[in-house]
Amino acid sequence: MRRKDLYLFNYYIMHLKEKLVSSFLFLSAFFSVIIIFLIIIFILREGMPIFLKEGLSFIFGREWKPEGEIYGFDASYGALPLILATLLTTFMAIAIAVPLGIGSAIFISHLAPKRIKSFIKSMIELLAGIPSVVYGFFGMIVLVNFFQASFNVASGEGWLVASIVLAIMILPTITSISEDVISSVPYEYIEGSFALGATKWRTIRKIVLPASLPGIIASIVLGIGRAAGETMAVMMVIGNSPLMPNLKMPFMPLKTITSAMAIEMGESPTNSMWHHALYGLAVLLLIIAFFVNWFAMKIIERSKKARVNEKLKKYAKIFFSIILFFLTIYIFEIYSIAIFGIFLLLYFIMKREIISERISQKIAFSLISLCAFISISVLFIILYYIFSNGISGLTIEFLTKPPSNLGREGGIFPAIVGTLLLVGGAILFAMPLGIGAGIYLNEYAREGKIKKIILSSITMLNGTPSIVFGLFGLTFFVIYLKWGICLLAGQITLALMILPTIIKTTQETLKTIPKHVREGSFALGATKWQTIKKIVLPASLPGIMTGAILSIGRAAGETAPILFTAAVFSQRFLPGSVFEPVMALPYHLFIIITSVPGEEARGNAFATAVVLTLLVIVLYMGAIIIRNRYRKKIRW
Amino acid sequence: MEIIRTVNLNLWYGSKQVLFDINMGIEKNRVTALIGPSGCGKSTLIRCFNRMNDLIDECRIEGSVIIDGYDIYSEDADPVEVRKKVGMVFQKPNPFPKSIYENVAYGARIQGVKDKKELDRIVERSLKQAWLWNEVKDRLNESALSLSGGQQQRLCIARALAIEPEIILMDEPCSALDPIATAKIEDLIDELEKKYTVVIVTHNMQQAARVSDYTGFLYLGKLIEFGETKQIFENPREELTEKYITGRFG
Repeated sequence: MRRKDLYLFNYYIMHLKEKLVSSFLFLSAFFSVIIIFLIIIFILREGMPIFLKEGLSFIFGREWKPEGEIYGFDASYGALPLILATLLTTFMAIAIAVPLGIGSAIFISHLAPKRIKSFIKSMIELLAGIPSVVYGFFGMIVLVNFFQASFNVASGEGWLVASIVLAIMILPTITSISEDVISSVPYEYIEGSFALGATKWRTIRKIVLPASLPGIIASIVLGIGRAAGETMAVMMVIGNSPLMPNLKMPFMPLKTITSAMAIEMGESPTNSMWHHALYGLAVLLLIIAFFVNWFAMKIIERSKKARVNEKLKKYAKIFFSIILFFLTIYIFEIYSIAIFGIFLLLYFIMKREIISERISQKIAFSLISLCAFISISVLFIILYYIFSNGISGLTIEFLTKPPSNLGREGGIFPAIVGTLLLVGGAILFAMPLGIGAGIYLNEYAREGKIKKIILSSITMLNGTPSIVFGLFGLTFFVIYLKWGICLLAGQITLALMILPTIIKTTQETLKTIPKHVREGSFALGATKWQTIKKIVLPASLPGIMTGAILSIGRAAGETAPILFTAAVFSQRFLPGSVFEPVMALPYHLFIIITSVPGEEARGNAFATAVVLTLLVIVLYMGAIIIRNRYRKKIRW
Repeated sequence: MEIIRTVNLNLWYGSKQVLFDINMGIEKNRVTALIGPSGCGKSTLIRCFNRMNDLIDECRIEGSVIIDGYDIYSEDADPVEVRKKVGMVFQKPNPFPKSIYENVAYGARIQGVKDKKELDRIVERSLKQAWLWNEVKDRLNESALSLSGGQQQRLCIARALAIEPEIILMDEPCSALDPIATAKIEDLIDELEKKYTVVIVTHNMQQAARVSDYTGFLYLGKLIEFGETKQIFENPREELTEKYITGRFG
């Protein structure tokens, strides 16, 4: 070849490569659209028969007795008790977690001394990493027993404990998102307020909080989504009877949408109406989740344009006050007079400024510090309880032997290996796709319809409750593709679940790399992909790693997605191929806590919980350390 | 009559000393300008007058600042009370993300004003004083962020006036504004002088010459020269001052 031809040849190759790369990146971003589409199709396909048969009475029917079909009595498919139970536990959890979360967020951003600030922040993030089965375990053993003993009831199980457990679980979501928005309120506002002679508390109350209100609301909405979709922890403490909720009976056992799905899926025969009804529940849950996430996204979008509608705020205030008023009367009956009395007195004191601004600041700051203290204490109490009871069971034998006698004896070796295989496989699937999608969205995608569709698919995927992923995995991989319950089905189901997290962190990290860095590379004649590969990606590696590690932690602790796709309880051997089922730590823990009686089982449960928690904590700590280091080092 | 007097004022950020033995007096109902090259400590100095430096963690101050015969750095002084007497306008206009009305009312509310009519009166008076009333009187409930930069800065002045301070500190108030908006603010400063004491930091020497009665020249954290503006600009005593004013360094 002549020199010119060679040059042209290289030129074509280079362009071909750029084209290929950008197509691959587009496909990996579009993958999310395909998946959310498949999820909707398959869940709808299985859930449709119940809607066709029952119509609206599926939603408004007051009796849930789907097992009648099998056991030969009249079956009824009214999901109202389940829906109300989900609403009740979700809102109670919000009522507990919102003050604690916002208080902690204010404490971290404005009151905490610099030295302990990042420590508290990391601790609360760690709270997010504890697997939900471990929360459920803690709730079952500590909270349920505590309420049983102190209120002298037959069983401490019920919606109150479920709400408390849920509140602990959504606390980190609310705290860390709120803290982010509160900390990002421009310093000029704060300075301006101080310069007018405002106290710190007034500045926080009147300037900082109103300015970050949209973000705080978004964090609450996301918390609602998470609470409504949570399965394992709720299922373990709520008692699971499909009764109509009664607000006056906190120890009444209920059944939520998710707990019904998780428990009954294993009992209902495929193609029975019962089975379809459970998918019908999944449809309802998906609708709730999509709506919640859409709403949160809208709020965040609007907040960028600033300006909260003052009138709307006023109406919202009146609306919530009226609801609270009647609720108080309903629950506390005659005692509500005392509550209103105290409330009025407080209002009077505030309005008249009987106490000086200095003292009210002191009171407010003490309450805020208390919130942060409670949040941190919860973490330490849970960790202490699990570790102090479980550490003695951690022997070499326990870690290296298979279980015997239903998990009462032997060890958890196959479960450890199973979890590692599941998580390893999931990350292997999700990493290339997620990073590719992130790169596409940040570097290649133009503003327009396609980008919008991809972005909203990712948001929807992110909001899909893990139990719905489990159900999708069951119908699609296990049944439709005829894989059966196996390792591969679990790996891919987990991969789908963590995909949005990886996409989002990749995208956010790429965003932090300034334009002039890319321009510098372009100016030297580098192509787009060369610039990304050599300049952009290396610089964003720590951020992407952090996202990946957090996803690994989440995948390792999740139970619901592998419940029907991959996990079995007792297996003496390791899987020989990806088409065999496996044991997994969270599932193993779940079964020995809920289904295996006896003292030995309890001891092994604690030891298993320690192994699982340690695994997740180590991963989370790693991620946090990488992130903190990276933040300090790189300044553009 | 002197309203502010600094006595041996020294200031450190961490281990780095930023102000050295500042001794100066600021006359009541006069405009005093502080000039000097960037990093000379003029903004830091002005922030000593309302204890804004307290907000910076590693900041340490020695010496005293006496306002109206009262040492604002004494043990029992409350920075919050100090700031109610000494208003401040910043380099970048920083209206709160609230309505125009609420921005001004915020200052009055801090003073404990609750009555709606009284608030209305204060808002109107302050906006008039800041020469903004005619431009915004029909849209008081619109967001303050919808105003232009110059209007935002006058809103910040109105906000500071609403707390009825005795002294107004201005930290390069025109550096983010165009020439027309700057001219308006300068005229406004002339007007404010009748009722208030104004201390202004500027790196624009023409501005200092135009608006101020007294000028202090700072260099590397030291007050090199302080005197009547006319004398400083026409007949500086120090060689450094002369070099700076004639533009031979800066």
